[in-house]
Amino acid sequence: MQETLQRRLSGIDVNSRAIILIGLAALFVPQFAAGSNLDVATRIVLFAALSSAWNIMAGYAGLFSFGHAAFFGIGAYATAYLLAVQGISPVVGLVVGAIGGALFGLLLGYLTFRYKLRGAYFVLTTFAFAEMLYLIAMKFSPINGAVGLRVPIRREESWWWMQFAPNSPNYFYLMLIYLLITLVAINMLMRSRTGQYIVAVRDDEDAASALGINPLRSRLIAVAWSGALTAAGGTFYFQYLFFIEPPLAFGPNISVEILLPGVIGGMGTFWGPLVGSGLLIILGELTTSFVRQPPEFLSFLQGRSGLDLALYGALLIGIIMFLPRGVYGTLAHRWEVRRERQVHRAEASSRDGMKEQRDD
Amino acid sequence: MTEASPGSEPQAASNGPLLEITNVSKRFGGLLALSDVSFSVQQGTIHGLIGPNGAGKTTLFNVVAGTFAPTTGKVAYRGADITGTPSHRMASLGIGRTFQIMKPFGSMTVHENVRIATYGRTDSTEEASTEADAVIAMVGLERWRDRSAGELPTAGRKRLELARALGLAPNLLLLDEVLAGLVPAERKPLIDLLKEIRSTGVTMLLVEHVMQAVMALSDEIVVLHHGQMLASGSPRDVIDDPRVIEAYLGEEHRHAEG
Repeated sequence: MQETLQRRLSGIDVNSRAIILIGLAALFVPQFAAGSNLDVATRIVLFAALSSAWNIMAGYAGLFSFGHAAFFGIGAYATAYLLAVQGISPVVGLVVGAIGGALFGLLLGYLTFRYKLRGAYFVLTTFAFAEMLYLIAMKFSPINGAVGLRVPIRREESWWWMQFAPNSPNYFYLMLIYLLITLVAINMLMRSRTGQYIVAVRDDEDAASALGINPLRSRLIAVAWSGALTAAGGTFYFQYLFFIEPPLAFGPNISVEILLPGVIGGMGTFWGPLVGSGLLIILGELTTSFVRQPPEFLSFLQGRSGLDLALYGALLIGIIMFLPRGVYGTLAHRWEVRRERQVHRAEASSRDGMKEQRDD
Repeated sequence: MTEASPGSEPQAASNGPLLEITNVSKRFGGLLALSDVSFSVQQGTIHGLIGPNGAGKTTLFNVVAGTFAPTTGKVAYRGADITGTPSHRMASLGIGRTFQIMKPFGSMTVHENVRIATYGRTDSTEEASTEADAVIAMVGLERWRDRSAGELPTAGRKRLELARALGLAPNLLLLDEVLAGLVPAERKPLIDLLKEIRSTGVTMLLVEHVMQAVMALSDEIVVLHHGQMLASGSPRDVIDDPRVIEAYLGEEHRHAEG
């Protein structure tokens, strides 16, 4: 009995162990960070999860999406409509939004794969779909068109209504739960046969087909998972922000904010989006505060609007130029290459040893 | 190998040929790449498909593998029409193929590559892993098991192509120039391996440029030239056929002059 338990524990993969560790460590974040710092932490966690969801498509399935705002907005608006108009809990909105995100993903995926849109054409199609939803949302009166929707304020805190006091750490915990569920889901998916098929189709579609994999099916599964998990993020974002309007939900800004952590951290790696999100948001904070309060010899920079963004952009260009696989991706790759070389050397020396023995 | 593969269902026509190609033609725009090709492959044999460059070997291979449908004609497997069946359904029929230009899943290890194939035969990942190891051992890639497939040298990649196809536990194996690009010293062990695979009862259709290999392996040979069947029969008959000699010699003359 004890032995099976031990074996079961040792059978937990590295990623799952790290997820548990991160979850435990993050529980203490609100102890050290309050106010605007907790805000920063909350955004890091949110965009780490969103970008991880995006990474299923862009990284693992090789389907670069420039329009993830579509899924995000569907989740946000499903929740907003149910809560603000119908008075239904965001927990329901979360489920409805996720299903909506998955279905929209299937639609988008089926149309693009059916007509074999690849590369830049696929990227542009995802962008067009998000823009289309944006335009529809602007004119659609049941969700209040361009005006947007607000979270009705309740008197008491409640997990069921996902509503807490403005400075409550529970919003951070809410995002943390979202991140952990997303990571566990992705880890399970990518370790499963289905996930391996998705990567096989990305690596070589013809070879995958010859081994009995239906590429359309594999890609649709990836898009549906990515869409559902991204839509879930929309729900949490709406609850956190108390407000949603079409540009916030479906605008290209959101698409970029979702994809950047993955690109900067490392596409197709499990931890890339997480690393990228932390890096990007902290970097953004630092450049903003640097321009707001520059050191004395640079005091002429103070208060120049947009300068922080220019600096931020320059740093991004630098990262992409020098670390094309992303920050985490590059490190992981170097480590992998070193490990392979060590194995190679060990094998070579053991072969030599055997040869010498034989010579004796 | 342990479980009954989907390909080993009761045979529709137990005495008929395993694969039957009837009057297959394929037109690419103005080019008639294949013209009225017919032959059949018996269960348990190795069938060689040869011809000079541009003879239509690869086109015919792709028609059989389901990469594209023929313009006219029919491909039957175990008596059932499989013309135009999408390539991902071929695997479940028990038909495996390799690619002339090797296509490893570059982000995966050798073991993971083969496991993609063996996944189709079992519901358990553990079993799929065990099966993959058995195939890896058979093709002699144990030493490379946990290495990235992208790192394999050419001879290793050829074996990986073969291993993945074998991972399907196929009844019919379509091999597209598995020996091309190898130095003679590397060919011999691979030829032995193919013979070993035949001895397990796998039928093979072999597209090959390396004459000596085809002669050594094939029970039957079909020679294509300009998309047409030039000759067919046993290796002995074919090699003595003056039309075959002319087609190949003509080719070599052109090479020598060009």
